[in-house]
Amino acid sequence: MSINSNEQRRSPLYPRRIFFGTGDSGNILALLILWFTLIGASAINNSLFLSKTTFNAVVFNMCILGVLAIGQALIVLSGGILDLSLAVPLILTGCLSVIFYDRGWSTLPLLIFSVLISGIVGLINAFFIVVLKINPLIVTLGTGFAGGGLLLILFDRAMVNPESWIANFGISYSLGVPSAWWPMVLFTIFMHILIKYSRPGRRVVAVGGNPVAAKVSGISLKRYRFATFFFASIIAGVAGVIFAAFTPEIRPSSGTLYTLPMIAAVVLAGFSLAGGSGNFLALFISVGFLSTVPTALVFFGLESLWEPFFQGVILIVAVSLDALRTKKTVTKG
Amino acid sequence: MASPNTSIDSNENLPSSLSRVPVMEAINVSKSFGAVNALIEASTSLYSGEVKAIVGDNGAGKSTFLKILSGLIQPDTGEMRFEGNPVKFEAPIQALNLGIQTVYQDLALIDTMTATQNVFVGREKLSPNPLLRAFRIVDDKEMTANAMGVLSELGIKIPSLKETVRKMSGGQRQCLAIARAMLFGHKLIILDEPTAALGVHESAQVLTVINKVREKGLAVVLVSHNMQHVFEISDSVLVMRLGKSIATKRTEDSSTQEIVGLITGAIAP
Amino acid sequence: MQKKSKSWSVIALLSVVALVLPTTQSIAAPKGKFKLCVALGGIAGILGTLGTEGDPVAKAGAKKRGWAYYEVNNKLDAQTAVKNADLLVRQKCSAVIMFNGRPEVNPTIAKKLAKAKIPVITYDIGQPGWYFLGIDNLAAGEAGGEALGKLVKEKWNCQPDLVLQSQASGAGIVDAMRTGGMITGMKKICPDIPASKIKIFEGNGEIAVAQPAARDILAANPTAKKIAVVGINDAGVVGPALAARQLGSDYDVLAWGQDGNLIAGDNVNPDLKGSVLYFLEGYSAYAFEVLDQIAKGTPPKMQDKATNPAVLVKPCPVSAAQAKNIPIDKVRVANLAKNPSKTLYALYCPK
Ligand SMILES: Nc1ncnc2c1ncn2[C@@H]1O[C@H](COP(=O)(O)OP(=O)(O)O)[C@@H](O)[C@H]1O
Ligand SMILES: [Mg+2]
Repeated sequence: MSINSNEQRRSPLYPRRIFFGTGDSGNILALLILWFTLIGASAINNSLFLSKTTFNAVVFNMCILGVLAIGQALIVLSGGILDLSLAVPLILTGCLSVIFYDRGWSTLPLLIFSVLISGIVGLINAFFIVVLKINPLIVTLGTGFAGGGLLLILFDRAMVNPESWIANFGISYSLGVPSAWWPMVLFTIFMHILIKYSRPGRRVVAVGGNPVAAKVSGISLKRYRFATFFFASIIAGVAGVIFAAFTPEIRPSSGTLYTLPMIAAVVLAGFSLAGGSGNFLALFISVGFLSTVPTALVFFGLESLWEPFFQGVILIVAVSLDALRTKKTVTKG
Repeated sequence: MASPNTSIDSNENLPSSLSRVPVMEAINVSKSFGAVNALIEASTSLYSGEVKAIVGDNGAGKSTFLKILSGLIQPDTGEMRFEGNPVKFEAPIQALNLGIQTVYQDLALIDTMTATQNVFVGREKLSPNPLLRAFRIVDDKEMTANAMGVLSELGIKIPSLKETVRKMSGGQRQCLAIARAMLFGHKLIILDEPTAALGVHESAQVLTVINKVREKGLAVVLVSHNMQHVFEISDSVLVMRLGKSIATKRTEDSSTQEIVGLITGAIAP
Repeated sequence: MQKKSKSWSVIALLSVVALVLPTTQSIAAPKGKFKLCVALGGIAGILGTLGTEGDPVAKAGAKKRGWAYYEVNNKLDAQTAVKNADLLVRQKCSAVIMFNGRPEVNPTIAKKLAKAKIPVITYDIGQPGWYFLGIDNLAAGEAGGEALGKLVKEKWNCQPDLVLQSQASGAGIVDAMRTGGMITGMKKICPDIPASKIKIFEGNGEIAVAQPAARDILAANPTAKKIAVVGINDAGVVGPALAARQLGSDYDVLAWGQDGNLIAGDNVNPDLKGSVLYFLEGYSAYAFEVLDQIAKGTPPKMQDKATNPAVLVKPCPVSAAQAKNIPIDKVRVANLAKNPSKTLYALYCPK
């Protein structure tokens, strides 16, 4: 075979496997089938499932998890393994927005500053990872732990004023859907374009796929590590604004509720924990599926107590699929 | 006009080169890693349109020498010259900017990216549309066309430029890496064991590509353990032993026995 | 990938940063005098001023009786609590009031204090051999339930579409008494609410958990619009109330909480129709019932379980309107310190 337009079509030697392929479209299709199967089964079980209220309940479930998962996915994609400290910028932003509000700040500067300050957590992570060359998993476990403890000491709890813009944001609707959904939607579109079609996005993937190759191609690993950990914290900070909008009484300990679900979402979406591959549209569907599970459970008459159980099962299944995918390609290669 | 450094490469006997300034020169370059003296006053000159093979035992300092030429590591002492002017590389990007490209042993490609993306990694072309350009959106069409151009120029066959390179064979990957080097390295291509771990057919494919690169007028320096490949592809051979550059031979004037003798120390330089 | 090198030393460093040195406050003790010691909890939000700002009620009571007084803060940290126990032994306390939010180290602390023969009064967290002083959870549940029942009767003629029971099963017997007690109390007023209308779910006493869980239940019961909410605490019922707000304006929610955390103070939650106040910051007024007997040399018989307490604190149900007239905990506790023979219930609970 030589390179000409005729040969550009996929060769039969390289089929896209629906479930195990690295092809993005195959992955997205598989996730959609999974999601619609759940929706279909729930609807057959109880036709009331297909209602606007259910739709809104699922959408509300997606808001915080979705934004957090996007931050986590950026870390995974860039080869940062996982950021176990994202609960810290989440809570920090929530608490700061309350403090700034109580001091009479107006909405926009209040949001910008609380989110930006939370970016510091990412910079601290990057410092330990890049400068001291410590494993990211250990660094973020440490900063997550220490940060969580520090938040407890500093804030104890923060009370969101029910009159504030943030509190209203948490119950308002825009264009027919909960307003708090839009950050996730916009971030998904932004990240998809960034990663697939932009120069910095390409380099994030390169750094995650093969850091040494990226380095010898003239890409600064340090710069990209700092940038990805910083932006992941910023994104988690935006999730923190939504968290404050949903939660009139912010408790620092609540942040860890999202750690497992967001990792499950990222892995289920097909982001390889080895870095360098993953698709943000798939992530959107993955978050949608995971956010439908608790609602569907209630329709099936199972208590919400079952939710962590199912999340754990989904995480294990997703990680196994990831391992299987990697193994397949290794034996193929 | 005589080259100012013919005396340095005393073993060199290259009438065709005497009148030319080498693309790249290393003069008495030394490098140690702690107690290990990986390179001891090693020297060489690389000329455009010529392939230089570096041979030597394991640990002779070949890879270290290549890394210094490519700017990945910095020498402790010694001088480097690019087209006759002294240079000091602090990072690979400086060498890249001068048109020096390196294909490293195993870490050439990014498995999760497509062939086109791999070719242009770190050098992505931006869209001509000024608005898209402002947002740093890349021009995939142009890059694919460019990649196709250089691949067909070098006669490289690859199933699809839009598939991730993970599924490609070793030979295809090596050729792709060389093609990338050629697209951006308009002066010097550095190859560390380009045919290692490749089958007979795939090695031949890679050697053909290297030959085409030479025909384009670039300087090529490569490390190889395979004498047959060395004699097939190179114009001159640099023998290294225990960190020193002990001899440089014109390939056509030398023989496998002589080179092997120099490597093992059976023949004195 | 980066190699792990100095990782463990860094983790150790970070954990040290997370620890805070204990702070102390005391009245000097002449020899032979009775010495009252207090170990504070260390979390303001859940414990009120008792958490962080000291216990002026215990201090005032000690002063009135001519006792010495010594105070430490457990900072909601297990290690600090154990270190504080050693400190209390060295201080030769005559009796200790213990509020430790990390009960897993209570057996260790109990051993140390028992060895020094120091009697202990514990607040709300049971430990064998320690006098249990706490809120009467069952009475609190029932009082809140009755108050909510009256609203349900008045507004909906005892016919809510759904009753959400936001439980926190991790709290064990306390949860059963409070959330179960609320249902019992509500049924005293509205005995005919069918069991099928009561949806029990796990809210963990936390808005971030109770809210999404309640949202899903509301979605699964699309015709239910008149919603009554009971729960283990205020946060546990505010979550579901907010979930209904999120899902639409056609919901009518009556939410009645427990613990008064979100109904009194600076940020009153508009979704709460009422709550039950425990006046936690005034617990020490009750502790003197036991302490006075210990000081006399005739300690009361040991009652160390929540189900068999030494002292029960009376809960106080308040509506949102009544809560407006109750000052914040700092003011309450300062006032109680000035009237050491009273309790906060006597001072502030609406009649
Ligand atoms: N980064 C390094 N750190 C320590 N020693 C090194 C390093 N790189 C190479 N060496 C040592 O330098 C010597 C030369 O290595 P190298 O240039 O890789 O040899 P070759 O490629 O000829 O086999 C060897 O003894 C090797 O162990
Ligand atoms: Mg080598």
